[in-house]
Amino acid sequence: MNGQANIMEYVLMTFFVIVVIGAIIFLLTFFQVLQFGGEQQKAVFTRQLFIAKYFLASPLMARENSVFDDAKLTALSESNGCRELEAVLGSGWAVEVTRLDSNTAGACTAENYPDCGRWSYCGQNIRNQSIVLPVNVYGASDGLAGIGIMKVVIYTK
Amino acid sequence: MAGMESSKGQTTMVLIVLVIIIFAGLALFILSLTNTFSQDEYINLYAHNMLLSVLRADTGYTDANCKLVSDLISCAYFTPSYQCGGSGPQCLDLANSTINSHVRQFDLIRKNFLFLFIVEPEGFRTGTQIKMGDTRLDCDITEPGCPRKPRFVAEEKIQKASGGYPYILNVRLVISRR
Amino acid sequence: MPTVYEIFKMIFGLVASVFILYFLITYAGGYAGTQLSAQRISITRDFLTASENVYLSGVPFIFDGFGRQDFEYSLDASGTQPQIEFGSGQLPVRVPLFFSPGKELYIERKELDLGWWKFGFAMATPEMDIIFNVQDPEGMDAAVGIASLFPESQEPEISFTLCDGAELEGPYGQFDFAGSRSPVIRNIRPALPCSASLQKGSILVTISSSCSSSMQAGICIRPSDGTAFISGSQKEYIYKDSLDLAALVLGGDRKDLFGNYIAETLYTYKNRVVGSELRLASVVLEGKARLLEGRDADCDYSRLVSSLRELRAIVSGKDYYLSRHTGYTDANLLLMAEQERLEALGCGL
Repeated sequence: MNGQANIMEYVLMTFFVIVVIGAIIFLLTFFQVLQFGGEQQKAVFTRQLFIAKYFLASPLMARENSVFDDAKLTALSESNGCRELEAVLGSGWAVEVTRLDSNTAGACTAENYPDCGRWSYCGQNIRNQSIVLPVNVYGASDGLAGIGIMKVVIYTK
Repeated sequence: MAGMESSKGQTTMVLIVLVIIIFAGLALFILSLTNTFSQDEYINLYAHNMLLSVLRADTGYTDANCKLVSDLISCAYFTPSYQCGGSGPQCLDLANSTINSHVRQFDLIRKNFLFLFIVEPEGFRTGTQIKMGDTRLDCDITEPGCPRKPRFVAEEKIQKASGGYPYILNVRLVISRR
Repeated sequence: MPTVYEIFKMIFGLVASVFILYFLITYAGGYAGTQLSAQRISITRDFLTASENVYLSGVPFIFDGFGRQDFEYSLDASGTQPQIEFGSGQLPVRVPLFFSPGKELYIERKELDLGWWKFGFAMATPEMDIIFNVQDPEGMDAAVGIASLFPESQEPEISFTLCDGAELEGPYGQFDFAGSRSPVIRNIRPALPCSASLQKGSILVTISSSCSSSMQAGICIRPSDGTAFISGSQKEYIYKDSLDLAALVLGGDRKDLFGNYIAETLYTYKNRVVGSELRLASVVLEGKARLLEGRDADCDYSRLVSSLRELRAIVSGKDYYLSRHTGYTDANLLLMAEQERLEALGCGL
């Protein structure tokens, strides 16, 4: 009986050690999964920021001092700008620029320019969670710079 | 003999419980280390961009002293009673109303934040200041009655020449959650 | 004589140890492999992020991440989206980026000024010594033009040397070599073919009217007809601006992990990405001109619009850069002149 008790105790201890090792491995994996979630959020924000900065720095859309040019925005939007920009920036994003001090909030086209105040690329009426950044929009027709906002959304699968 | 066996069993049980507690503690510690995305970086960026966009905006006046909001701020600091366009509103009043109206167009700020613009000469924090916006933020965070929520600050410089002399004004935007 | 219990302990201990060790080694081995791959992805992603930041902000940066792990990486511009390949995977390149592999890279934003448009790009240069052998004095401008697109950097060291026969003069930094007191301009007589012994990692750039595909090493530039050659390759590369040449020089006669000449990859990539941006720029500026037409009687955009269309037709042609007489240079000059005329009238786009 004593021998059996000893054996059982031995088996129990060994089993216990294996469980401990398994638990350590599980915890490490769990920790990595949790980290990944946080990293993904940060990655989405980083990509949103990159797209915002790209738009502001690109001479296709902006003037020299990171101010949007409304005529360039309209021309790009009219010429299927989404497809062109997706070739550079990849897909799964959308940008909307809206002039805040404009009397009209309609989407800009060649027909209604400059009586308009909204430009969209690769998405319409962005309601998904997006970052919003204040920007300036320069009116090429009147030479005046106004305030506006730029919304950038990344569509995660 | 039986006593020794039960004490061995009890020791084992105690050991098991101890290890479970250690692992639970370890798990909590690891969870606390995980990277969570902070909104602060975004708010800081928003504040800085908002300050820049307000300063660069046209006011509608062609008068060189009042053309951009940054011109208006310089005018409000150095010649507050100057009338824009010759017969228009005075610089200080116009700067106040223009800045307030521009900032309130940004939903995020209007709905969630208090804001205050502080204009002072570069390098002289104790020099004359002009303040525009919510004066509830015009206090030290440690003072009683002062809003205690964390503040975000954006700064920009305005460079101008007046009477042949160059000068730099520091424009500080302070925002705090309501 | 050991007891049954003791024998049991030994056998059980052995079995349990083997089980635990096997499990740990398998897990650790797989984990280490994943970590190696993850590290490469992380390094490459950091490099791309640094390049993007430099491109967007204009602030130069020294990237030394590739020194942490030794692996091959190269630009793959064969598909619709350029990417960096590094064995275990690939990552997309979102900004115009020219680089040659190295442990430490100096990343700087540069611009190719076409007069009517400025093409911005990021240039990541490893430690290198570019040795110019200017046998044809007509090629002096080309040497200075190439050097002006490289950075001024001591760490990593990017230097320029002149070779005349067996003699080497230099090394010079970018400011001294491409500046107004450049040694290239001072040495106006043609140099003898370079016979000096060159250090490993240096790139020989020969500027001569008699380039052939059988030259010794590096790159050869023939200014008389605007052609360049890579040592060991039979192909001719037509250059139209200093960025064509800088791309070839940056690659030198090295090969990437696909076995292609890095210089050729960078040259092709440069022309595709510039062509793409110019095509879009012409569309946007034409659109803007149409929106502003008629608002000011002094602003007549018709000549500008027709020049933009002409350029667009040229750069939309497949492999337009391989043909000598496309009119690309003339179209750009015409656009520059028209843009200057409009700006003088206050009608600039």
